[in-house]
Amino acid sequence: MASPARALPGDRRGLTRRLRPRGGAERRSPVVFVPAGVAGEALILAGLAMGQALVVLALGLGWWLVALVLHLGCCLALLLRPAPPPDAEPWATAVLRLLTATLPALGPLAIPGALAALALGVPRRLRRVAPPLPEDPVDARLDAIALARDVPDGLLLESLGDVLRWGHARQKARALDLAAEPARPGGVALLRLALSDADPAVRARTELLRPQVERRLLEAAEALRAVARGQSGANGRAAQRALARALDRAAFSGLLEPPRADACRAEAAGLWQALAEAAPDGGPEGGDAEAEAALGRNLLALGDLPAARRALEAAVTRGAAGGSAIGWLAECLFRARDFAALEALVLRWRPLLEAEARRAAVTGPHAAAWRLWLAEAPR
Amino acid sequence: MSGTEAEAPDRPGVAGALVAGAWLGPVLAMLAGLALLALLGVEGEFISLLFVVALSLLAGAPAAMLAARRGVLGRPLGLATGGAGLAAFALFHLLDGLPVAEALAGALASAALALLWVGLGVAAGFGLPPLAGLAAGALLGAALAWLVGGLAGAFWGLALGAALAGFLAAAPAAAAPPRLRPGEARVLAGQGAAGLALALAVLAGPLMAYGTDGKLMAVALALPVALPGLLLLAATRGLAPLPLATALLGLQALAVALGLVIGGAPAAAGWVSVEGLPAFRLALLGAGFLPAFAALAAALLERRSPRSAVLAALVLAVLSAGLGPLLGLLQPELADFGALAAPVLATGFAFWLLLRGEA
Repeated sequence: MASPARALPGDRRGLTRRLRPRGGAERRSPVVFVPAGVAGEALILAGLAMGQALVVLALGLGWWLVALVLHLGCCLALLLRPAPPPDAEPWATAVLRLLTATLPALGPLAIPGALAALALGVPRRLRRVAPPLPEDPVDARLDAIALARDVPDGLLLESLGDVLRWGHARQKARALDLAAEPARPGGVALLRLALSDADPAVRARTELLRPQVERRLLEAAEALRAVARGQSGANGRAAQRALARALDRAAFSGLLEPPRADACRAEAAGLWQALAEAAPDGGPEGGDAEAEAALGRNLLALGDLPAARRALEAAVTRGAAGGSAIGWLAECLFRARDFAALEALVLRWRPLLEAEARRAAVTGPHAAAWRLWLAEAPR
Repeated sequence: MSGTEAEAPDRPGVAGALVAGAWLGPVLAMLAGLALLALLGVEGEFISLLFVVALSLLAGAPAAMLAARRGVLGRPLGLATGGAGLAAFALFHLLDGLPVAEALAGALASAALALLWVGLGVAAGFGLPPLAGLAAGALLGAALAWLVGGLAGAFWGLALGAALAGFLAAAPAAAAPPRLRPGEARVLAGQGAAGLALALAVLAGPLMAYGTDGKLMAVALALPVALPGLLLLAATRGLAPLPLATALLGLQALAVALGLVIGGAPAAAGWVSVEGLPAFRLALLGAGFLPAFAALAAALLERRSPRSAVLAALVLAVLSAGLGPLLGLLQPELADFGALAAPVLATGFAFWLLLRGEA
């Protein structure tokens, strides 16, 4: 590594990096002994600790039945506790999740472990740390992405995906932090992929970031819901459409808890249905193909196959919905096991599908299915 | 990687740490338990301690293998800790007739050790050192054991230490609850089966020796001779399996030679009877092959399908349990050779499986 004195005068980027403070304690975030936002979980833990202290007392006195009843009560209270809110502190939620699995068998012995884990916080390696040596090209890429505020979604996904594939643990953590930034909505796709990454540390980091992204997506929908509430007429329909799109974005992000995602889909389906019915039906050229396609996609995800098929067939008939709607309709027909209709669909749209397969669609969600169907369907 | 494929460990040496840990963990837990018993002046409870550790390993190893590969799964962990605890309580209270206080402490120790195996599996899979938790657990466990005293105190101390260390080690994985993908249950079942087969391979020899001719101490006391090789295997990263197995055999030859030189010490200390010394020496020679077997089994475990690793571990388990009695039927004095022949034959079988897969 060249010393600062030997750096070229024009190499301001390198000089800036070399002058950046690094090394030692200042590169790491400070150790937090009582993480913020753990009040609810800490209350539950305090209650359990008191309950288990009584269990220990009963054990010491030889009151086995009393100890058993108290212990079962603690286990039931833990099992039946309400689901954590979206803004719950993820580490405390994780500790309570582990406590739920271990308390029934370990009883009072599980409490010191939970308290110690809560006090120590996330292990250092899973915490965010400052970027390492700047000579690494992966770090240079991360620096560039961090400085550029409007990276196109496709490029962001590809670049950060490369970091997840080739980077080391700290680089992967930084890539996930960048993807979770509010200013980068395209990063949601990377987080969805990272949830099933082969590296458990990546999955752990993503799970820690997931609640804040989920909260952001739901807050965006809530803001649009408030806007739509006061509108009517054409403005109302535009606001409804924006809300439905936001709900779709949240529901199909893959980051919401399944019940919340289903609730978003159900609300979005209602909005899209209203928009489709409100559109003037002018034959193949009229109607609202976007609304029908989105309605069909939501109904398909909710499992209502007949209604989804009706909506998607209407959207595809209008011809303005594109390859995605054909893909959803094909998926719907496949799940309904109507293979004759599926073959007819592929035959009818063969030129379009082949054109899509030649373009970027080969990497899309339906690419493998398209290739299979195009190969199997007779010419 | 598709959702139906096994997730091969992405850190080099994870499989080695897992397989070596299947022997290292129980041996170190036994040593810790014996140290606690000695601290409290309790004698003659080696068998109780062995059963606590054995039950925890049988219940905890599958969950630990799953945790190392996919993070902590709540139900397997609950089943492992609950199953180990209930089985130990039933064994101590209903079969052995121990009082509830001691049986409960033994059950908790078994459940806590199952959690510790899961935590150590997580530490291996995530690359997070569990030493801080282990140190805190050892200190607090020893303090509690000293406070309570007696056999129950030793069990309580072991339980508190293992629970604290296990919880702290497993907690990072709880932050990433695994989402099972379609078709993944079969893959996870294979990983669990690999864990169970490894546990059986570790326990078959000692438990069979206890159940048949009573030469348990000869077999159990020979196991620590494998510790240097197993520690090396757990710490090694990225060495090819065959050179590693060869290096381990060389290291173990030295350890076994040292063991044979001081081979009379267990008899002098009264741990092994003078009649059991030949069996102890043969078991010492056999245990020298265990690290090489573990290195080969780890290489098999790193494959996409854990089938070969399960097969190799089951062969070791069956040979350890059956070869001695079988040879004893032919000629009674041959029975002791089972402890030597089983690891040698199983190592050869694992070597053959590895070569067959690479051909």
